Amino acid sequence: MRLYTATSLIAVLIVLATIADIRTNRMISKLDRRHAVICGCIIILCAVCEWVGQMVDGNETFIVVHTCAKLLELCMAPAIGVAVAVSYGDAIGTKTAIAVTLCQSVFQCIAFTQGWNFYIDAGGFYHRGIMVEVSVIAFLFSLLYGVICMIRAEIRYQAKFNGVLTLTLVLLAVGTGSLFITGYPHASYLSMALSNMLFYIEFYRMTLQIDGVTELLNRRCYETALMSVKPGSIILLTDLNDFKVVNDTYGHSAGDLCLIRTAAIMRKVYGRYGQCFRIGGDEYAVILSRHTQDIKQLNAAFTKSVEQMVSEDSRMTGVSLGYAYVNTMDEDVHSVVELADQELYRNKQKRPRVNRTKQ
Amino acid sequence: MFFDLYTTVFLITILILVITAVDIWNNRLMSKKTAGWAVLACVMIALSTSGEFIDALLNGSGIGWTFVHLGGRFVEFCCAPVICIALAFAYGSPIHGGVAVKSVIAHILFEIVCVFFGLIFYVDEINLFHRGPLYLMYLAYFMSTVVYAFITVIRKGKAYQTDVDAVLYLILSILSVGVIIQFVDSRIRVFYLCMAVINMLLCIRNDKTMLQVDAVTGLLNRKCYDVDLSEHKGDFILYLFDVDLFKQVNDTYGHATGDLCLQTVAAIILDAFGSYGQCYRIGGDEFAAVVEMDLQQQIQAESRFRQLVKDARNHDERMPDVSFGYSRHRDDHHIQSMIDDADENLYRNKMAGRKNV
Repeated sequence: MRLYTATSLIAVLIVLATIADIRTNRMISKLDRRHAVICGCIIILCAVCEWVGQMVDGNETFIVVHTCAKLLELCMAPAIGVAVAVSYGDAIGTKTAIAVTLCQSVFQCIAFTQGWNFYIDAGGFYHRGIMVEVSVIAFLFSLLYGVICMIRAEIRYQAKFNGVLTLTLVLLAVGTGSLFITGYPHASYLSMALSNMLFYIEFYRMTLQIDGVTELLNRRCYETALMSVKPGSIILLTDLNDFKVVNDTYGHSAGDLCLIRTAAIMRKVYGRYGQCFRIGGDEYAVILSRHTQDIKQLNAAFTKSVEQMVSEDSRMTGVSLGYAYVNTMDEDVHSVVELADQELYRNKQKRPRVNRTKQ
Repeated sequence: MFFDLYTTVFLITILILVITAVDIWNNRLMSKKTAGWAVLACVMIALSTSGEFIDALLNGSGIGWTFVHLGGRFVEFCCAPVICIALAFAYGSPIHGGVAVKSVIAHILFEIVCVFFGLIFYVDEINLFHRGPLYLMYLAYFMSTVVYAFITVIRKGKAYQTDVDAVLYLILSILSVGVIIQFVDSRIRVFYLCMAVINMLLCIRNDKTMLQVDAVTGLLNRKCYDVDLSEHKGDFILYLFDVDLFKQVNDTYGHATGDLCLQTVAAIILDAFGSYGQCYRIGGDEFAAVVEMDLQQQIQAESRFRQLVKDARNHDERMPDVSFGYSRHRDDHHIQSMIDDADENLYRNKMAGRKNV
């Protein structure tokens, strides 16, 4: 039991340290910081409630405290996964998730009055009710939801599904698994505290890798990706035609919209075959490493989608592109970029002139 | 029961060490050398905690396996002090690094000698662990490595304008929890869990520090400047600095000299204004300081700044002059108009300076 107290204390300290780190992190927006702090507070609350419950179990004088702690824990535990999803992941159906969590809390309160989920006898001992599984299932589902939203964020921001996230899932599984194997006392909130910290790291990494406007990978990632490009890959460069004119004629918000929509088309067409980057004001790059034989079809599809966008909204503008193959290991990758750039320039010269008049 | 809470905690400890090591290995912000030290710290914690785990399994288990028990404990006692030294090299700016490394090697040799005589610890014939007469010496050495690690981490923080913040206090309190529990009841084995967590938190903190810093000058970067200005509360002064004719320095003497000159300017700004607030590099040859100071301190800092620039220019003729301007924040003051005021002030000073030459 003393080991359990020690691990609970450490879990709380870990969450506090994570919160302190998030609050002083200037790279994260104010709103995200607030979400992350709330998420941490929920974990602390649950861990403390569980600890209190364990400490006063079998003690007649603290029956009220025991009851409150247990009920609070049952109500709040399923909120952890949702909080993780909102704070660090790409949350989907957030409102529904929060509503379900609230319903779960209400259900637990009602169930308590009927003694369905748990009851505490006159001796202060905790007993499971017939429907205690509901809270366990809700808890597991919320964790699953949190993990799914994290994976969605990984895909959205083209983060490589790297070892850290996989291992975090293993950690989470070990912690929650201990709940079933060892029974009380268990280490699930310790693993939750650690996973919270790791999700924060992962989220923070992703934020640093993307360009804020288009959500493509940023220039820094492009430079490092170039260094480890595999032979047989294609480097494709794109740039918007007359982007300055769009900006000057229709304003910066139209310019941004143009950048965002082009980036979205790019992700849709090339995303499955490689990584997309925004490497300058109106310049993009794609490093294609899979199925590079279809490049002509892909390019045709891309140009067609962009043309369609331009025909639908006259403020948008077309693109020019150029690409080159990375042939052998020893070839300097920057000369390949140079080749792609030259082709891009030739294509740009060839394109029909569009006359944009100020409206 | 074999699979108890302690086993879970042990598994979790090993897992977070693996995660930290994988993460460090993929981290491009760290140089290979620092990453090496950080991974070494992970490995050492893993070895120590495994030694402890063996002890937990075998302690008092009766006759047999004595050698394994002794070996496990020996590994733990050898590796534990290496942890903090590795942490110091990975996340701090070490002082007397050579001495620290030598002391670790000496300690390991000492352990090897002692294990034969049972001076620091021994395991009796029924597999019970006992502390030896020199145990306190080991403990003192271990604690001194801990103190060493924290001093180096604080030193590094100072160099990059990351104060001793709440995160560091919490890291310290996790450490104290670990140490105190170890003292009070060594059967509660959470010490290496604490070390693994500290290792990870130090890694995050170090990452954050490095990302907030401009690579050339070591001052805080543009992003921090934008965020700090928009979130700063109360009275403060914004100083803007501009290196005069920096382009000429770059063109005449080359980019290496240009960088050197920027580093000198950054060091001077940090020296004169650093103790009152934060200093930033906000553009190619533009710097800023967001400070809280009264008029007297302002006069002092400015004269110190001018003196330091003058000294640097006397010392090295390639060094250009630096102009500055400031603006004091008032409640009705918009941030943008404040920046404009400081900029205008800077421009006027610059023109006045050129006329005087």
